[in-house]
Amino acid sequence: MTAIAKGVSAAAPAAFGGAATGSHALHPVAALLVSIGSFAFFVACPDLRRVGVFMVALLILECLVGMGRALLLSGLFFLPAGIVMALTMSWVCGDPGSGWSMLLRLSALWLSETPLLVVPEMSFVRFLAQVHAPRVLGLCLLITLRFTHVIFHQIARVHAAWRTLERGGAHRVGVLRMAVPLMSRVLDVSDCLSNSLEMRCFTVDARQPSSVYRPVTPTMRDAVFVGAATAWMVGALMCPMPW
Amino acid sequence: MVGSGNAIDMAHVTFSYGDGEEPVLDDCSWSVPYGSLVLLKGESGCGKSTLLACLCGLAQSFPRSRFGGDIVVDGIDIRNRPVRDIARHIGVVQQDVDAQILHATVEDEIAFGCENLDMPPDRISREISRYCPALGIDPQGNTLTLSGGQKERVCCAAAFAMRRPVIALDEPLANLDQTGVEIVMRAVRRLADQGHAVIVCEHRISNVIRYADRIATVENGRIRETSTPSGRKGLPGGTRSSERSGPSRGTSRSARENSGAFPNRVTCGAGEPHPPSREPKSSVLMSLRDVVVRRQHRCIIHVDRLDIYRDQSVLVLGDNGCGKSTLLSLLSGVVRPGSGRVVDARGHRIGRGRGIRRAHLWQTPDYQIFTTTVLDELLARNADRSACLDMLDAIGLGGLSHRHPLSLSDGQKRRLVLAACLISEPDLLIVDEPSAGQDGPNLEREMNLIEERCVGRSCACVLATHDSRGAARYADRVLIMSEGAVVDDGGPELADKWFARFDVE
Repeated sequence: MTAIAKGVSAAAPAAFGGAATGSHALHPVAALLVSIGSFAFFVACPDLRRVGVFMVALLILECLVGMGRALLLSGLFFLPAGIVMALTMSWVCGDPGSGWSMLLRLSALWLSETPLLVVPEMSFVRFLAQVHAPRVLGLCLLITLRFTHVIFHQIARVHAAWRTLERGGAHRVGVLRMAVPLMSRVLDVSDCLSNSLEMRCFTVDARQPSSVYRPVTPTMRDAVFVGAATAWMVGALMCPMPW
Repeated sequence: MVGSGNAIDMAHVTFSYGDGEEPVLDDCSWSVPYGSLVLLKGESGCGKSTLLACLCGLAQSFPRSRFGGDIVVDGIDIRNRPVRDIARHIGVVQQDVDAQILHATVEDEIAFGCENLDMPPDRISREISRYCPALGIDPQGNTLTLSGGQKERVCCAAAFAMRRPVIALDEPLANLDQTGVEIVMRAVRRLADQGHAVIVCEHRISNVIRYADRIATVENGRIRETSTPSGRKGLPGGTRSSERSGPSRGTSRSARENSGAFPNRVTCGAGEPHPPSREPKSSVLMSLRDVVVRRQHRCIIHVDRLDIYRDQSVLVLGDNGCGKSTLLSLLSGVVRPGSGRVVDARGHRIGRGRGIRRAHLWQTPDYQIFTTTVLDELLARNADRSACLDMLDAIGLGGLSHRHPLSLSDGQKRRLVLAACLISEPDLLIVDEPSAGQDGPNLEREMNLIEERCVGRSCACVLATHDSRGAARYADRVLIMSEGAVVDDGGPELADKWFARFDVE
């Protein structure tokens, strides 16, 4: 369990935020446009052939812009879930075809969400600050994304601490008892985090001015990504299918 | 008070955590001028952190707390002011650095506070460029992969970059090796020289006293200022913009002793030689053979052969990131080697519940508390109730057997987990940073208990620390680690040489 928790916590930023600091990070708007547009297409398009064509195109496009690692990591979650749901659907409906449809659309969902996962969290927060969105949105985003890592890290540490008990002792201290130090640490961390925010003058009051250190600006790469995805989507929708 | 020209003015401040509770601060009055570095010290649980929380307005918002008196920080009365407004005048770096870091990169973490103060981006960039090299941190570093010492420095950089007139640091040196300590203290001294008022709350007093202008001791709810160490000129109380020509350093040893700072290095007595390192009387307890531990393709530990003897007390020293904690985790079985073997005297692999009995006390004992009463915590390791009750009496928690462990103070929790480790009658006791968060008397009590329970039972003991306090006295053997390997293995004199590199006494 320690290894899994540590692995997720360590791999997640490497895969998702791997482009966090580089100039090749996607602009949040570009990621949102492609994500929402492709999601709408995959959900609404009744023709599975067209869905499949656009999926292949989007997969190639996302790999070309450097989302390969993110695709692999997010695939570990989406694809098994998709397989389970597809099998369940087939069994419930008694029709294997319905299962394939479910698997295809869930895989499509995996592709449409990945662009959002590679945008550094700070880019989202700074973009929201640039457009003067309510600061509470930025705060929620920051804490939600950060807390995932914090929770996994704390789980790993608590499990390692449980392992310091000799096996005989551990029998007298069941696995569920790990919830005691875990909840204590989560509460401590939450407390400290909220104090730290206040001590660094963060406020949700929109009247308090704040600056943006590195404004997020769209680049040609973002335009090409959005343009190519849109072109493929239109092409998949309009072109006659040869089969 | 307002307009007195001091950075901090406290008058008749009283604070308690609830109705009917003993006040933590009792009619406490204190002033701190601009341009000074104050060492704030006191026993564990005396109220240092509470004092800092009062200064920044956090304590007053605790439910059921009672606050009285006046506090003026940077010329403003903090009564009835929201914390975020007070935070524009005073910054506090809390003890738990893991919980303070919000962002994925060091640069973003430092910039966050500056953005909230509406600092222009070019100025933020200048502050980052100033403090990252000064504190030895990479602005592009991933905060999730930083060591504890590096996180501490990032939190300090984030506080310094906001350029607030008053800065308070709560045990900033806890996770730092001696190199890190020097880096942070030099940066702090520079801030004080530039006119900021800096308060450093620490137990590792010898590391701070060389840089401090004043020493303040929290005792019985009040602050007692002792004289400044001779050889350091007192700073003129000035405005924030006053500059000094440079810090004066190097206080004499007698001056430090006269200043009232209690001795932090437990020596054998002036002029007495160290006791000769005890040759192990009995056999090897466990061995590490060709052990390698890797993480993310990096070799963390590489030990060809390391024998731990039954009745030896081993001290492990080394800089941050050298692999001390990983070595301790290997010895306790929490970490498995990627290659090589951890074996007992007969060459059999050791596992949990197999081979020798081991107990490991972490630096943060909160993780190791699994039950809901103090007594149950010991009973989980040893079913003999009377032995557990005797142990609780021995560590001074006899009257608290039915308390929830998490309601204890940090020092009490530490003693509880130590007692739990000792009651399990281990063959090997492993202690990571025994001095973390401990003042001198508590540390001495803890080490005496370990010595009494381990030496008498031929239990081996392995301790890892950055702190010179009491280090050499309790060790028979000293291992120096560097870059994952044991580079030196000798007697207690090695510890003297190690700490003497930085002239720490």
